[in-house]
Amino acid sequence: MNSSKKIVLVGNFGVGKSSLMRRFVQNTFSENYTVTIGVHILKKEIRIDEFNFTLIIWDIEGKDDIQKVRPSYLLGTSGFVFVIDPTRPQTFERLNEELDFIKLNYPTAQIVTVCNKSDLINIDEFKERLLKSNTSIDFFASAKQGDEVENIFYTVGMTKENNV
Amino acid sequence: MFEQFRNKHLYKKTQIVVLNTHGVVLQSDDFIFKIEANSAISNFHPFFETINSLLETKDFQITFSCIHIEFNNIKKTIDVIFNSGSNDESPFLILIDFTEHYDNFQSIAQEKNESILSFHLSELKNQQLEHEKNFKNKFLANVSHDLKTPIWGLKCFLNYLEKTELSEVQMDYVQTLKYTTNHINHLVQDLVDLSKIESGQMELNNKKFNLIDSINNLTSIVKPKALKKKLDFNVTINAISLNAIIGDNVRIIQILINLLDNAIKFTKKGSIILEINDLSLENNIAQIQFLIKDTGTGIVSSQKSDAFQSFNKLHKSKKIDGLGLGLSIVSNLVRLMNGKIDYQTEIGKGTSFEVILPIRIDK
Repeated sequence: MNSSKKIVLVGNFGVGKSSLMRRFVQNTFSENYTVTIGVHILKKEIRIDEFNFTLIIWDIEGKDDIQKVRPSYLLGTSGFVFVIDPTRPQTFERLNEELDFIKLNYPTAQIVTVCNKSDLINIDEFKERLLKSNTSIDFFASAKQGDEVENIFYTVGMTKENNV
Repeated sequence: MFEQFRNKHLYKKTQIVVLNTHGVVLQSDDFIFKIEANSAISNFHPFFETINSLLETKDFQITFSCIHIEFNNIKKTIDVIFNSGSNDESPFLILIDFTEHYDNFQSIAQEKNESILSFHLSELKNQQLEHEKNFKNKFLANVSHDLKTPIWGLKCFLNYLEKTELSEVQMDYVQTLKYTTNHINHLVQDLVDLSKIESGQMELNNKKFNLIDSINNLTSIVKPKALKKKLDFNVTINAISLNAIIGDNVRIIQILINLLDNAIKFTKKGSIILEINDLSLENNIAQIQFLIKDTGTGIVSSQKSDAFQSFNKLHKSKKIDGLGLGLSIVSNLVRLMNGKIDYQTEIGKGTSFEVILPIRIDK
């Protein structure tokens, strides 16, 4: 069985969405920051248990509010990867509101939250800070070092209903 | 002929691709990309996977803007219009090449986002520096405070010990201990001053006082140190009305003693001069210039910009003791008094420090 799933990376600009996608699909990383406008799309096949999936990953331009994203980009999305930068509070201050919007408008989509650039912070201290604002993050990743990147995409590749 | 010229000279920016309801390409004019007929459109680029779910609908149109497509080394940024067609029509795609427009937009966005990120980065660095500075000040304040009590105890008991019956050798030991204790006390006081200055807690205690008297007292402290090293010590005052001024007597003398102590420390032979001049008087504020000149070793010029940084010893020799706080404290005190400090130096010939302080004259 092989099916394709559309995964969309969302979050503010400069949080490392493109870097996470390139690390996962091409296993590359660049220190140079290139702004994404519009959307870049890459695909990668993965296998979860006995199932093969083709992940079609949409790396869309960063927005400070998901409601500003062109709706056509989100059409038919199976999974969202919401990425934040722990060194820039404005990238996660409204995280809960943003997630509520996704859950309401894309109820069947799988959502994972990712704190990229985790190599730059003390993760325990940052978790405590998030706890105070009742915010939780699924993955503390680093596109630069490759930490947790595979896990993010394998998790979001599972469907919400049966976790496969 | 017309069609020939049109094909040769018209820049084609729009491509039409006709599909069947299974997403297979029926026809393409290939004006932007070469797309094989009879192949699934999703094989051309993963973007078109999205189209597959829309093929069953009818009379539906949607536009996807700014899609980056790379195929056979051709890179384009296009808008894609998908039209599902009506009952008797096939679905079709219109691809419009906006590469130039989006490239310009990308450059502007790049500049804007980079400037926001760089502003954020510098903010972050400032916060980090502030955090480190606060930690250093807290550490200095705590350590110096904890050191003061045992030093005070040591000084007291040395004074008691000095008054007991001691042999000449024992008395020598006591004097050495007293000298060392005073030196430690002086270093700790410097740390206290520095932590106060850097945490913004240093306040000036401005009162009316006689600067001439203070300079005379200072001379009686400094001159013996100079004479001990066989150095001449001269004070010249070319200023009027210094008998009644308003300022922080203790801190002004601290500035001068620090600079004079340094001058003596780094001078092996020759002289030390303290010169005081009044440069101007306006609205009862006199600009008083203090020149401290020595004939010492001089300061290596590359160190000038760092000279007033704390913990920076101008002379790296281990024979010269101290923490490298003197000049930092002096320059901070001068700044607190809205004054200026600078120096001229020549290696092997000496150094001249200039301090200018605005001092209120009490009429």
